[in-house]
Formats: sequence, structure tokens, C-alpha cells
Amino acid sequence: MSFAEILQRPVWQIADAIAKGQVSAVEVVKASLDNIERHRALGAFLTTQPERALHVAEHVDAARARGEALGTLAGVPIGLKDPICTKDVPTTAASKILTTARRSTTDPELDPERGFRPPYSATVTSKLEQAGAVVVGKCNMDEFAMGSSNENSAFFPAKNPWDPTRTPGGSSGGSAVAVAARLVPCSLGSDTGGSIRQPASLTGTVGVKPTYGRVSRYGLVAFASSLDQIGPFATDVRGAARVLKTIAGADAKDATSARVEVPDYEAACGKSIKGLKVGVPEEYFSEGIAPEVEKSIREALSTLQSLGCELRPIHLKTTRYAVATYYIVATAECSSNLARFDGVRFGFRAPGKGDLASLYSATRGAGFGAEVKRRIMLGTYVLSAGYYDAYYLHAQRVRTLFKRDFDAAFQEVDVIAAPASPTVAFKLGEKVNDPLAMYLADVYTLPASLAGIAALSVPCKPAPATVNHPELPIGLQLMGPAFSEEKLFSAAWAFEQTCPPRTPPPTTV
Amino acid sequence: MSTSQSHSISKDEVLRIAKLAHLDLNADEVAAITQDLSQILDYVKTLREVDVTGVPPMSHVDSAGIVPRLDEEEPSLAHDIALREAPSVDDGGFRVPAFVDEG
Repeated sequence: MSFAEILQRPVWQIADAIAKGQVSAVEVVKASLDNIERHRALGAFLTTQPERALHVAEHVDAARARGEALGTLAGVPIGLKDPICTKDVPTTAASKILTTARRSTTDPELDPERGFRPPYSATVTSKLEQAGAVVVGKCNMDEFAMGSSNENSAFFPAKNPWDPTRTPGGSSGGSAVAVAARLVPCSLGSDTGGSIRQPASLTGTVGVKPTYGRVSRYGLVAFASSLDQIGPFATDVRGAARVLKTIAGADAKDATSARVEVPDYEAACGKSIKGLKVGVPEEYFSEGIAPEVEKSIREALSTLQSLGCELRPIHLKTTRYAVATYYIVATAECSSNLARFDGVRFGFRAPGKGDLASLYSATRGAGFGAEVKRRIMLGTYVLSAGYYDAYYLHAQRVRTLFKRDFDAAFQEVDVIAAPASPTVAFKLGEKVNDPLAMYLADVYTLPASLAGIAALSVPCKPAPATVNHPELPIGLQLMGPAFSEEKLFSAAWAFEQTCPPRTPPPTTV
Repeated sequence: MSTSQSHSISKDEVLRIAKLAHLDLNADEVAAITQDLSQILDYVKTLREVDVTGVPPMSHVDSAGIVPRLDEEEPSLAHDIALREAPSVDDGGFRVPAFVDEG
């Protein structure tokens, strides 16, 4: 096979081809770096580390030549969402406040290469490297993972390869684009309220938000700690399963990581789903859903039925309160987490008026973008004296109801199937001046985040081309109880087998 | 539910919150945030319809039980590495403006 063609293959086939010596790791990594350069305009990556990547690839090839056993991802190029720390590699979370001033200035630099260099790697990064994966670069995103369109990046937006005038979704937009455009066969994102599933849906990739606690967050720049979870994007279900298997598991460095055995997710791909009880929540097909999305999801449900699944209508009555609950809980947590960015220990500093308090506020005022400021303000407000009970405590109580809703549903069904996003990819700029409209784009992904359960998005039938847009992807969301990822992979894999072969976006061929 | 009489947030309140958050905002930002927060706070008031009598708050997800690590001494970052990314260092520490009145 040719080197350019290799990147059209899924993760597990690429790893297999390298292990068998059909292609070298260096060739695959070079092809990936070439593709990234060729598609710079998509804005998928903030920085790349070609020398570092080729060095790792050379090690993989040398290990193979010596006849050593290779890791499950040996030689496979991967992109990491920017807030996932990689030792000594620039990490900005797409924020100016994590870029270092080249000279004394009151404005931060707009160059991600000047990003904060973490003194240690995230646990997921170390696990990927132990499995032989090759980190080629850091992916674009909404600043501090706050956004649903990738337009809140301090540097530049990522563009949807299916229609570059449209958003790839967010906040893990760059990670989704990198996989959709076949710059890499897999990437990592983070999902706080849908930041993996929504961009996966909008770009035609597989994206998994694992159960809260499934994957260590050590070394992930925190946004909302009771919600954040790291997960994979891949070109197919089995590829995502292999990456999740690699990164999952308990970690002494993250007390919230679960001491639950990591099953062989790849082995779950191929298991029969006959008799699987699939819940269909009526509330996910109500106001706001685009007709083309509803049509595609309904067809996907019929397909699941033809595969032997039993469809059952269910109710998740709290759904309509998801956006309000999430935007209180998440902003409260972000206002606390982002207090660490104060211009003292790392990143950008604005001098202020010469006293410590104004150093803090000047640094944060110049370093944070508009959406981050908006959320810090909202979070500070709902935590402030006089409002805490009415907003934050009340939202935390409503959050319990989301958990109870899902617990009750999973008494009756094994998994829940629904859309991941109410619409196909929207136009860049369309919602950027309407924060509430942007928040409402997350309505179908927020409930699973609030409940901390497992969920993924797998491409289903795309929306056909119209006079307004070319063919655009749509994602089927599958949700399951905590630590039910195997079931989700079985269902998503079986569904994927019924779909025509996934082709890359025409703009990238 | 208390504090339900007002449907929006005032500019003064925005300035007070910005101070609590250690966030410098220019006049345009104050105006925009006042408007945005009013709109968002109006929207989230729909939550007040939800009866949560007797429902405990959920502050985190604990599906498998949190087990803290052993409380044992471990090596930490080397001094020079810890200071490496700081915007200003002096005499082996992070340099900041004086904040204790020594007079």
C-alpha cells in the first residue's frame, strides 16, 4: 500500500501493518505530518512536534527490527487535545494566558509555540507512549474547552472538512477534524458537556465519552472537575475501542479514577447485540431537532431493530433542564479551577498597577477570552453570598434527578439511543454572538455528562446535500450505565457494519 | 426560592462579581457581560420549576468509590523545573509585588 493511503485505514489496521513490516512507523508518521501540513487551513493542530514524533517512530522501527514485542498502538500517529499535558511540549488550552510573553509586554503573545511547557506528562500521554503511539501534535479547541464550535480558540478556529465554512463543533474541534480529515487515525479529546460527542457527530468520526472515573485526568488542564473526562476519537469503532483500552484504568495520581477492571473493549466489537434492549427517549426528539437529523436517527433505530435489538420508548423527563443545570454547575467549577491562572507561577503576566491584586486582575483580564470571562463571571455569581443556595445548590439537587432518571431508565433498558446533536454542522459565525443559542447546541449531550455515565457518538446516515450545503455527517449517540462501555462498543460496532464504508471528506482527498 | 424579584443583573453587580473573580473588564466588556448574564440568568430560572424537596445535592460522581492514594512521601518537582515557566523569578522564588505592609 502507498504511504498516503495508509492513513485512510483504521487504527488497528495501521498498527497491524507496522507490526508486520508492511510499512514502517517512520513512513506512517511522515505521511501524517505531511497531511497535517497540506491541510493547515483546517486549523486542526495548534502545534506539531515533528522531530519528537519521528524520533519515537524510529524507536518503534528499531524495536521491531530487533524482534521485540510492540505495543498495541506502536507507530500509530495520534493528536492530543491541547490541555492534555505532554512533558516539555507547548500546552496552551487554546488560551493566551498560557502563552509566555517573548518580551515584556502588557499583551500576551498570539503564538501557541510560546505555550506553557508542562514539567510532566498526563497519565493518558504516558500510557499512549508506553503502547508505542506517536504524538504528532496538539489539537485546536475552544479556550479551556469552553465552547461548542471551536471558535473560542484564542488562535484560530478549526474548520469542518466536510464544508470549511462550517464549524466542526467543539470544544474538541481540532481533535475531531484531525481524524475526520485523516491527518491522524485517532486523537484524544475531553468531554465536559459533550465536547467529544458533538464534534464527532458533526465531523463523521467515532467519539467516546467514557464513564466518569474510567480515565485518569492527571495532567489534563481542568475545566469542571466533576464532569471532565478524557476520551478517544477514531475513524472507526474498533479503533476507538483500542485507544480507550490503552488509556483507561485507575491511577494513584487521580483519586477520582475508578478501581474498576478495564475489559477488552476491542473484543466487544463483534459481539452479537441480539436481544439488546434499546431505550428511545421521547424528549430527544422534541423541539429544536432538525428534520434531517430526526430522519437519520429514526433510520438508525430501525437498523438496530433489524439487528435484533428491542426498541422501547422511555422518558428522561429532566432533559429540558440540562442546559440550565449544566451551565450553573460547570461555570461554578470553572470559576474555581481557573483561579490558578494568576500570572505568578506560569504563563502570561500583565504587571497591573504594581500591586499584587491588580497584577492578578490585569493578567486575567488580558489573558482570558470573552467566553471564558463570561463563564468565570457566571460561576462566581452563582457561588456568591446570597445566590449560592438559589442557583448552585439548587442546580446540584436537580443534577441528582438526572442521575435518578438514568438509573430508572437502565432498570428497563440496556442502552439508550438518541441524536448526539440537534443539528448538522452550523456555519462559522452563526452563533458566536449568541451565547445561549450556542449552549443549546449541547442539549443532547449534557444529561449523560451530568449523570457521569458512558456515551459515544457513531456516524449514521449523513444529511444529503442541499442547495445550502454539501453532504454533512450526523452522529447516533449511544448511552449506557456507568462502566458499560463494552455494550456501547458492541452496539456501535454492529451498527457500523450495516453502514456503507466511511469515506473521507471530499475536500481532503 | 429567594432572590427571585429581579430578572436581570445590574452593572454594579457585574463590577462587584468581576472584583471577586479578580478580572479586569473594560467598559465594553462590562456592558456585554451585563447583557449576557441577564439573558442567561433569566434562562436558568426555569430550574425553579423543578421540585427538589428532599433531593440531596450531587457534587460529584462516585460510581466506583474513591480511594485516596497512600499518604507516603514522594519526590516532587525539582526546584529549577518548578520555576521554569514563571514569568518572573527572583532568589529561587516566584517574584511578585510586595503585598505585606512592612511599615
